[in-house]
Amino acid sequence: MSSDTLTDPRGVGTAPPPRGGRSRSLQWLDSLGRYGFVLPAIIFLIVFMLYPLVYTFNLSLFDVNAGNFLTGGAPFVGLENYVQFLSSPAFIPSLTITLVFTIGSLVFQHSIGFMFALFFNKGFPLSGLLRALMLVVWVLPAVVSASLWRWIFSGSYGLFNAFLALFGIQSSEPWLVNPATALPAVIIANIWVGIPFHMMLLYAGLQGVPIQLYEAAAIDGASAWQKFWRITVPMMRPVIVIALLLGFVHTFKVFDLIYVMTAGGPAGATNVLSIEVYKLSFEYFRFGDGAAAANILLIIPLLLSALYLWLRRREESTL
Amino acid sequence: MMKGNKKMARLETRRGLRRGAVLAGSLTLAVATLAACTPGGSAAPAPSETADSGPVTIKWWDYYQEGAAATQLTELHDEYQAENPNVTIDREFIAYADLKQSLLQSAGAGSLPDVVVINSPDHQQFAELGIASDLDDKLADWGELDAYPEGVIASATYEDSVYGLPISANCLAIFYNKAMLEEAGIEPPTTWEEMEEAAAALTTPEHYGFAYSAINNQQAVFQYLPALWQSGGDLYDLTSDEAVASLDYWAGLMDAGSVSQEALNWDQAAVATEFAQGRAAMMINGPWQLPFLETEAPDLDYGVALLPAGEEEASVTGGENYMIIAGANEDASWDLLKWLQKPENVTPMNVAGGSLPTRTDIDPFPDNETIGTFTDQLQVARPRAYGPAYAEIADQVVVALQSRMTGTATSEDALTTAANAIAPLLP
Repeated sequence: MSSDTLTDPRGVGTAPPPRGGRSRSLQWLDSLGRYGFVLPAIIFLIVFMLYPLVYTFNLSLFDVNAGNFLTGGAPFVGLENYVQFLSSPAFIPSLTITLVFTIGSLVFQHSIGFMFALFFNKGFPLSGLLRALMLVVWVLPAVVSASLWRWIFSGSYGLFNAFLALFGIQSSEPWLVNPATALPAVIIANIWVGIPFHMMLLYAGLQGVPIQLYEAAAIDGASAWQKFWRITVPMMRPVIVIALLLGFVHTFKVFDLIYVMTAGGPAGATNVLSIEVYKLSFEYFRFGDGAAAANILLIIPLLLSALYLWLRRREESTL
Repeated sequence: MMKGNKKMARLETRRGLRRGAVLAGSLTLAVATLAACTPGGSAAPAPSETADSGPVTIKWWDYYQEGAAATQLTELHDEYQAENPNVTIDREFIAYADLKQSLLQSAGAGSLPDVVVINSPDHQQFAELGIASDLDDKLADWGELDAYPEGVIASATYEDSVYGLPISANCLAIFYNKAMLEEAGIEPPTTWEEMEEAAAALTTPEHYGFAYSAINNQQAVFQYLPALWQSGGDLYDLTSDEAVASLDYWAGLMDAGSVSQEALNWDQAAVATEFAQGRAAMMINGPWQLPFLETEAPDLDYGVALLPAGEEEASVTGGENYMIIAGANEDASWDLLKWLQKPENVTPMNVAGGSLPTRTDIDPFPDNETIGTFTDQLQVARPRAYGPAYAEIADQVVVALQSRMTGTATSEDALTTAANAIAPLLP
């Protein structure tokens, strides 16, 4: 942890600003210049982040629908859109499906990604090339991977059933049209998509664990298992947490993969919140309800991020 | 540690960017197929002159992929512009999947087109949005509305006013593989019982007896509605015995193994592919598949028959309508539309699009047996004029269909859930 303080930008490296000998106007110009440098970023944030957020929040407080979206005059309804969405019969199943999807994906993405990271950290011949190949999965557009998995899980000519046949299991089950198997199927597809992301983060983190720790542990006679749990995991904790957090945020709002694979079906079995939001706004033209639902979709990862930041700050202050 | 963190931040940004791009890309790509998408807003703002004075630019949107219909439309546009040198038609392709969103966005930005080709069940939704021009007065002056089938006009009617005219019309009927039916010694079915028997008898290890679409979107409802109406039921009363019987009949074909379970993931194009490749002996589909079958399966010997009747005969109509957007170019657009609706201009459009005659006073396909069957079928076909919330209603009906077909609910339960959900949405 000592390296953190060494490279802290607020720390030793920066010289104190020169004082005296400078007129006030120069100082003013100087600070203006500094603001000038951050201005593009601030404008970007306001135009592309803040404005849509405020607009969506505002929209969610009015009963905006097809009839009054363009003409204006939508009545103010306060939080009624939120109440309506939260109490709609679609909400609880949708939230449950989203959570199952997110957690199911995350657990496997992360643990398999971790195994790959440890594997590649051994640094064997061609490991660099193989690692680059893994990234192909991650760079692939979601529409492409989703179409691929749609075909893999199809019934009569799907690859998955052909794979089962290798083990003597004869199946022509169309996995994506059975409500019991559709959700596991899209989770498996999403795990496949997400593994390289976790692998890359964890691999980068592993590079930062000092080799001396392992050497010292080896002298003390620690087993590989002990080294992993007593050195790797504690040293990697910040990376693990951020990988899980980012993974959660990304997975929680996944739309494209599911939209292409099942569009929320069969019979609503994969109807995650993001698909519900899309339908409300862009298919039913219930913009007020759609905005409220979008905000609810936003707030859950937001709370989690806040929790993470708070934990992190607390951790730093105890160090 | 620090090194890792920096790398992570970079990764995070890249992934974020990628996600955004992918989401935007997937919305365009998902259903739209590859097409030269031109974003809106590039066209010059429409001038404010009226139809008969000075130059007018009519901004036109449609979702015709390259093909016979698109070519035919271009020819008609060219002809009209040659006859009316003051009129310029600025035509833009908008992918079907993007149409709703593009219209909303350009409505918000105040840069709407003047004429839009729109899928008929979406028409009422856009009329509700208040962007379509009310054509009642113009139609009264024109006096040719009687030449159109009632069901076709109903799709463009919202709150007793007419907001558009048809560009094409279609309806569903049965396609059957002549060789397979001959082999099994079966005639095309005319009743539900015959349908069930025929579909079962035609199911072999090589092919299914029948194919329909039960996919998680409006197409599944489009294909199921005829069965609902044939039973004497309707969406207004989904808990009736008739409605339950219709769902038992429709899903029962899948229970019996005569329809593949995969139908739950087939759109109508996929159904046509199954039929073209000989994996289904019969299918329910529309005349727009005729050009497809001609190119994909030129050797396939097939026939078209009326849908089997239940308590009554019924089919469903679909098609595209022209919608004029309210604004300065209304009159010029109406002149163009009137010209396009002349029988001599409608006929080539119907032929090119594999669509049924949209006017009763024309005969685009003289002596064509297949089209003749569809035209007969059209006599008992009904529109999906269930008001502006049809998109949401259809979604609820799909859930009912899929719940029943996958065995998660009985017909009664599935339909009761749907009935409760759509009650406030029906007009």
